[in-house]
Amino acid sequence: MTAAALRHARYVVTENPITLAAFSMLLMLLLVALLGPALAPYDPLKSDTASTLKPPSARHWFGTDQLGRDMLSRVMVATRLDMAIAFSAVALSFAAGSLAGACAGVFGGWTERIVSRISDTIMAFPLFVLAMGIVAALGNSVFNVILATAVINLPFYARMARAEANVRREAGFVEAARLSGNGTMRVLAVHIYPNCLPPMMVQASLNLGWAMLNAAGLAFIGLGVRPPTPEWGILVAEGASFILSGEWWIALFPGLALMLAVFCFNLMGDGLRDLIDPRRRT
Amino acid sequence: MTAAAPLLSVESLSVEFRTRDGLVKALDRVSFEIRRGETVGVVGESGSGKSVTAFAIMRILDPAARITGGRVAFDGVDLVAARESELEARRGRDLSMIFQNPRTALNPIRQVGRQIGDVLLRHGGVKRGEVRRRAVELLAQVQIPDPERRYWAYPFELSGGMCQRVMIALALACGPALLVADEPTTGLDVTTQAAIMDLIDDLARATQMATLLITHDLGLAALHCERIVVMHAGHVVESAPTAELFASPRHPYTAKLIAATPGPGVSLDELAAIPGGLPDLRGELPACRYSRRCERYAPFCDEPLPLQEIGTRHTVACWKPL
Amino acid sequence: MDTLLEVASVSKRFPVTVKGAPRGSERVLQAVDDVSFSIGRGECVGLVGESGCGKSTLVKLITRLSDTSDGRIWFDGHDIGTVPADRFARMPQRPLIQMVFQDPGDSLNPRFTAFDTIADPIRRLGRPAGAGEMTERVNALADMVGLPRELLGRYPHQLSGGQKQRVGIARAVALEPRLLVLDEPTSALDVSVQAVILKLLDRLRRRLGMSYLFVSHDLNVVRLLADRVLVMYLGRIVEMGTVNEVFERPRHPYTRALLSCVPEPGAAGTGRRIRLSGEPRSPIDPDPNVCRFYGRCPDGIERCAREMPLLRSFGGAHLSACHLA
Repeated sequence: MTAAALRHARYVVTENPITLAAFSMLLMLLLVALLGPALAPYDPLKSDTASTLKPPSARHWFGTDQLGRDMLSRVMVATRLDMAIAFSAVALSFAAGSLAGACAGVFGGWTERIVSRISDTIMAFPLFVLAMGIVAALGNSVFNVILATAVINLPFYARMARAEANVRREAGFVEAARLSGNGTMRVLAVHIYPNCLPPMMVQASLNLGWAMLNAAGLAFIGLGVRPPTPEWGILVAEGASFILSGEWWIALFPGLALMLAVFCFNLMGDGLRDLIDPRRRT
Repeated sequence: MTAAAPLLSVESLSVEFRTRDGLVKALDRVSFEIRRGETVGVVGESGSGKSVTAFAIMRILDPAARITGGRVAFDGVDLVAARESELEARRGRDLSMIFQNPRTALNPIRQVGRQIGDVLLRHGGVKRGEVRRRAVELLAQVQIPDPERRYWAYPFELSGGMCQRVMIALALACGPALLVADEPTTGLDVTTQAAIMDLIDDLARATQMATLLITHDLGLAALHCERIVVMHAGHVVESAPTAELFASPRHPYTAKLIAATPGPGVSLDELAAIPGGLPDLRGELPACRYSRRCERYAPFCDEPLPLQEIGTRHTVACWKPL
Repeated sequence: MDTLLEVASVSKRFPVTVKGAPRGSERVLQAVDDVSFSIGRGECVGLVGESGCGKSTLVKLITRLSDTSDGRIWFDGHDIGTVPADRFARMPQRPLIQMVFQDPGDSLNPRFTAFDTIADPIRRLGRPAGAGEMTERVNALADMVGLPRELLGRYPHQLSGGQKQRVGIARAVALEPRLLVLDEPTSALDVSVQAVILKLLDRLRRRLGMSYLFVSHDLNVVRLLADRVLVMYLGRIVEMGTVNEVFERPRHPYTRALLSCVPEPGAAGTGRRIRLSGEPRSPIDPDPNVCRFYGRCPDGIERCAREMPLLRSFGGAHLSACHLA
């Protein structure tokens, strides 16, 4: 990256304290995700029947669950899985949706009709229910959760990309590109598509939070990721039955982690767009 | 001629903008005046500060802007010091403004007749039952055909020229004493432009309304203004009655601007270019902001610059006027 | 004079769907209607007209960005009108017809540096070149248009209007076109920059031996550069001739009205301005027998409403489409 780009990045992050906070949290989450198992004080899968259902203490910051497993370790290790699912799902959705939408916006005609109808069909369902249906049909696995989450988010990207491409299609630089000998595919790939992306980055960031909630939600009801794999949704589900009997910490901490992650993604939206859109760089 | 008290007197107005890259000194001690019924043009290129001046007079500057000095005396009241409630009462009633892009200056989701009605209700003291009739009257006055039907039209259904007429009707609804017109015809066809400017002239003459015409088009200002104020980089460099300005411009920038404007008698070779570019308004600025581009520059040009009176209502800000 | 571009009876129609109307009752917007003219080698032809006159559509037809509904276009003796617009990129004539756009902000890809923008046509259609030679060529073009070389690494939003326009011009002349269409190249620029760009365009034309089609709504600017001028109104050419003939002795009432409305600096008094009443006729389903200007024309007679006036000669190459000329 050039010096100017780095300077701009630093400016964007420091200008708004909220963006700074969001980026710091994200960094922390990524760190925990990458190094999770190494950082965790205990083995998340190891049960210790001697210390079950212990409240938060100096030894176990987040307490222990019904099998004596350290909650802090479980929450930390689960970060990796949740982040991975969220990023993969959004990446997949973004890639497929933006390409389909851009093609629809540029070519019109049948391409647009097909993409629109598929989008409409997906959106006709309550999205979470559709995700449930996909995972139930295809089987419980991490990949299927990613796939389901990606599918239900497709229409948003497709629609945005289509609108952006439609606007850009008439732009002067697109005509200039055609005059310079760029064929239609090149114009789409090199000139129109990259310019559609910056506005979609905000959407992508918001989507990350959504995707994470989706995956956690599916796990909460027993679809997709299954125990004993640590995943925030599963942890909350396991902890839910203990709330009434007074062991509040089992569900609370994974829930807080989930909330923190989603919150941080949402705040990042604007900051990310500022970074990527060259027009904002001064 | 006795000097009657001017309707609008801008005295040493300075405006700054806070931006991420520093403080932009958009206006520096801008001064000029408009008498009742007079049409004055403020002419300058982009970045000259002419629009900022208009917005500052109406007190509708961007929140990042601050008026750092000077006063704007309108009918005896200092608009810079006035409270927002006082300003709200005056805007629309005593002084109003029309903008450059008529379609975006109108509320896109409200019928045009209703928008005129809003102004009438707020300022015109018109009773509810009378509003529609009066609005249709105004639409007819600005020569919109079929005004009864057009009352219900939305801005997107009207052409650019018609939207501009609606905006004029809005601005003139309560018979203000001053109309500020910010590039009202930029982007319109030349025939539409002529029609709109004629309309403004006719209405202004009928109601003895003063007009402040902001434009980059020197030719347009020449046709419609009695006096012209030339601005450059936030400074007023010259102001004079129109004929005098063109016959004998005293500021080098004015002369260059006139020489750069294409016209019937000028060939391509004779067309002047103005070297250099606008100075960066954020950094350290010399006393005369044109000095760095001026071929007549001399060391004494860096002395703080007064606005000198060199004729009847002809002022110039230059140590070495032509 | 040797003819470079020949446009013969070109028309362009767009279907217009009217909301709520049954299928098959589509109406037609006549954007360009039976336009014929030619441009000679090295000639600069001005095209003037107001919004809705069809000059933008005509420009798209000539530069082959869109297809004609009727008529033929010959370029250097080759019929280029029959090749569909989306295949034209591969034709040998593509590099020879280029365009400079009106809005410099809109005509540069925001993600391309100035260098990339200028290099793009060379990479697509020019002689293949290694990185070193490409840099040399782009540098040479930058020098030719007066763009400082250090600005080549910048993005459009880091350049001023005049600089962006220079980039656009460099891109347009990179392939040494024979015909350059200039679509209001200076309307978005300040007057001080406009003079520089106009002089640059004039110099380039002579140096590279190009022909220009200079489209503008500003008659004062057209007067400076053009040899001949065409006046369009609602899709048709209403007058054409040399700049002197048309501007000094206009023969069509619309041209007269247009000329009278042009503000002139230094003219403190007002000339007698011809005021046009009403709005232009609708370009949708126009009556082919009624003069398009009828209704707004200060001189209309009964014949104008039943017979479409055709372009007639008034000595030499000065043509006007008016019954009363």
